[in-house]
Amino acid sequence: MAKTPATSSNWKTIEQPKLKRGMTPQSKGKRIKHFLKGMAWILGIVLMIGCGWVSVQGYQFVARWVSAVGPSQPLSHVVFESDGVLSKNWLEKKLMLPWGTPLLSVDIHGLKEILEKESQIQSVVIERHFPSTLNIYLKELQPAAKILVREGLKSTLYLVSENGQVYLGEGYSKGHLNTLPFIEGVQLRKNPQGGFFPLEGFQALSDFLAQTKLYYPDLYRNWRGISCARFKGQPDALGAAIEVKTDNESVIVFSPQKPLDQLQRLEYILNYVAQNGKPLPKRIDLTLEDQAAVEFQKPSKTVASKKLK
Amino acid sequence: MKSFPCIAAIEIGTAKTVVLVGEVLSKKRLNLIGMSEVPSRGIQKGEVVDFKAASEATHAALEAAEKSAKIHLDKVYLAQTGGHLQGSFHTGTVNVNSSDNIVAELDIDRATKEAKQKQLAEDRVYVHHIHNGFSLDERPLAEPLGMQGQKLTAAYWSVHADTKRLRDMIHLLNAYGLTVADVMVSSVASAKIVTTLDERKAGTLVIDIGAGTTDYALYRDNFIIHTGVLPLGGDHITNDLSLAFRLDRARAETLKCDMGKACWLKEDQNETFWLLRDRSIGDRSFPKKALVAVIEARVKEIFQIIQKKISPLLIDNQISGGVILTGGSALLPRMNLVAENVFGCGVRLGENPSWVRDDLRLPPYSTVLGLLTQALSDGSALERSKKNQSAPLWNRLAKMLHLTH
Repeated sequence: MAKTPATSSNWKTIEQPKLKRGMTPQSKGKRIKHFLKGMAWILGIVLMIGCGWVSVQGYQFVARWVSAVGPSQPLSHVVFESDGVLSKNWLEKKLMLPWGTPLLSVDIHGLKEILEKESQIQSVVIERHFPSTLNIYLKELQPAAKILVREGLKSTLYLVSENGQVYLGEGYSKGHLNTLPFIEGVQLRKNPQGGFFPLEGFQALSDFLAQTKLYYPDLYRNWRGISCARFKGQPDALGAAIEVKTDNESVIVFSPQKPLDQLQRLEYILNYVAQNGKPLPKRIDLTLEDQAAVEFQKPSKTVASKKLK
Repeated sequence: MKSFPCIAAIEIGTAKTVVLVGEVLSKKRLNLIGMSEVPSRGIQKGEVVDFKAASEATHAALEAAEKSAKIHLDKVYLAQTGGHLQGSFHTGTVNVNSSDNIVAELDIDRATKEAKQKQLAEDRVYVHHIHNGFSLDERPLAEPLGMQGQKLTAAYWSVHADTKRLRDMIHLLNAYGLTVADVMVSSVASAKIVTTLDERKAGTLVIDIGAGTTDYALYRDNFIIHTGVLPLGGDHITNDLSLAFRLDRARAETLKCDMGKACWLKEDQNETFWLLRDRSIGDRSFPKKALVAVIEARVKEIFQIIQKKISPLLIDNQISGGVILTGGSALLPRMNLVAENVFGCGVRLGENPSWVRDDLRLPPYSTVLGLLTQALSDGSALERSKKNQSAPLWNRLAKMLHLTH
């Protein structure tokens, strides 16, 4: 087909209008369909634009909401929580908190490291709470006993946690410390990085003390010191024994095994002694399985005149 | 929605309107996806005589084609016929511009433009400019680019139509909301599809005998050198039978289709036929020779007119490539024998290519198939479709809402 440019005498000069003349039901139907298709397109485009607009609005709303939580502002508050005895004052002194620094710029990892170096602290969680608050949560070691360490002429009181960690306790009240028994007869090993290595096998002793405190609080209250000279952390070792010194200078010897049986027998013995007006026992040996050896003090001291428990 | 651009071709004939829809897979590959065929109304001898009736029939065909192809058409290629189509041979001659007399692209363009610019009467418009080769210093050439010479001539067989009649046909389609992408003369479309390259080179006459018109195109050296339209066709044979045997047109048409032959042979000597074919009161028996004689006279007349029109163009009065008959009326038996007798050369019945389905391989579909394949090979269909697809969304929407054309 030779291409015919639209010159004055070419068929392409014939106008091709959308004629109404000669419209038939078919052509009307086609036009209506065409029109509806066009409308559907427009509707589709409007819907798409609408969806786009809603999306943008939604995004902006979320963005506003997020920014309502706040951009970073200078640090002005600290929320402090601990399961132990350390206070917010101690924290502020220890950390020298950078008040006024934008919250986002506060080096929370640095702060965490400082706190984790403290032997009393077991774990630390630090959170930024925008816009200007720092949340600090501490988990402290719980003391089970105390130990007096002599270095030359100087004596320092350390605390021993339930898992045998030896640490310098801070923030404990005198009353609290007085309830803790002294530990004697243990060999502390110095940690080159500072402090002491944990006491091996202390968990068994700690469990023994905890059970006594829970089930026989009257007995426990009277215990002044515990000697581990014969207990090296292995309950089933031959001749292993825990010696407890009470406030009235009695010595009670426990086997590290079956502590509850022994405590029950001790309570029975002490009740029997008190009821029968016997003198105070000087030494009670409970390591003899279902037997107990009781040595009494001088007769001047009776249970009636001085309370044993 | 189809993934490939689609093109449609329509032939609005006197007897039937055929629409074919194809999916353009590439510049050379087409997949036929839709078709419709509807009896025409309001058309006589290829021209609109009743716009409303013609619209209804045409629009019904277009709607059926859209449904069949499951697409929405917006452009269509139109096959045009009718007695108002005329052709003339034009040449454009220019001096080769360059100092070394080597023909450049610009020289070819000027010669081509010159050939196509011949003025027509006010009421006529060009439909086609069919290229007929070049000559350089009166030496015939197929492609003169780069050759040396002084005078370059471009030759065209230009087909022109009556503006009003063509406009009516275009407006039929516009009323359905379609734009006519291109117009092609029916004879050219048919000739393209039923001839082989060898036949075109040897020189072949293609005759497309329709219901209202007979279109013909004469090839020589692979160029169409002449086309023509006779306002005679199968309908005239029917009309002749109707008059000769005093039958209504419908019965005459049935008689032609069922019993008609284009020429009488000795073997038909004893054959008779019943006029009404139901042997009712008034039905009469005739010798078949009488029926054939009426048909043969008209067929012979058609061929003789064509022969007369093309004889000045023939060398030694010979059509070396033979004659090819196509179109619906070419299916009349023994049409080829009459043609052989008139033209004195081999005649065969045109057959459409094997890549189309069987029912479309028959001669009545040559024009619309030729139109579709020509639109494809032309490349313009693909370009237009791509252009349309890449048009801005707003323009496409505006088109849908009839805001623009």
